[in-house]
Amino acid sequence: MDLLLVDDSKTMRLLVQRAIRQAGYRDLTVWEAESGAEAMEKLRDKTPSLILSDWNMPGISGIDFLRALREGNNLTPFGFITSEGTKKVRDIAMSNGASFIIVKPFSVDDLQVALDTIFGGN
Amino acid sequence: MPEASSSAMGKLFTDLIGQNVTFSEQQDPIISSTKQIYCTYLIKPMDSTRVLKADLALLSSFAGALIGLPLESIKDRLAESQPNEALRDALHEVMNIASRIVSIEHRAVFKSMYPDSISLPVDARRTLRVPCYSSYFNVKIDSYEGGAFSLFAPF
Repeated sequence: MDLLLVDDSKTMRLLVQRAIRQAGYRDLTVWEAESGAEAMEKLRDKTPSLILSDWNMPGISGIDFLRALREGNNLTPFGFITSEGTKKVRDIAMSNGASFIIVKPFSVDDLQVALDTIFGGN
Repeated sequence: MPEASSSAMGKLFTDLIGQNVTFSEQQDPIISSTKQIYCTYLIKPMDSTRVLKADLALLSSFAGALIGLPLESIKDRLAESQPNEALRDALHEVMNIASRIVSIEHRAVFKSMYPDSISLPVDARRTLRVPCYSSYFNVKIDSYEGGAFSLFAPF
């Protein structure tokens, strides 16, 4: 099992990595990218089981990154971890094919529930 | 300018950093003698700018606690001549997450952080100087340095 984590904040990547371990997914391989463009590069030779992405990022935003993937017929499960918690943002995310949206600040339980929906529990 | 309530602000930061945080709203502007930080937020869909002004020590406490630094370590890093990269990155993330309490009726997007009011864009400087609405809070954090936290809106 592996996961691609996309966030321009080094702090948030660190916190998500830590929360993933605390959620019991210690054997999960986590690839990191600090932008949508870098993530697209990584996806040329990696096929992760899940992509976890921020929404607001410099350059390609999280939602544009998701749209680009789906337009390219990449159907990898995709979730957002974002401070954007409005209904409108949720609706946009889900209608574009996101599996879930986790709003910051999140708990380990929030992350575990989301990961379990993709990996079927650990 | 409906922003979040004091209790909602306290809960957001408590959940974020894992320390008890309390926001107490004040009637009047808070005169602070310590270094300030200014942050701008774009309010959608109007594209207006709201400004957050707070004590650097307070925001650094949020950032430091987020990445697990004790208070003394935060003070040491603030005293360094060059901004500490880990603390600055964490500070940026804290301000990004704070967008949730800057407005509750519209979407707020964190734009930038400034070390002084002179560096703010013109519209943000105007909002800070003659806000249509402003709110002031004293913030306390268990085991960390608290401080002043204010919000300014153009309408």
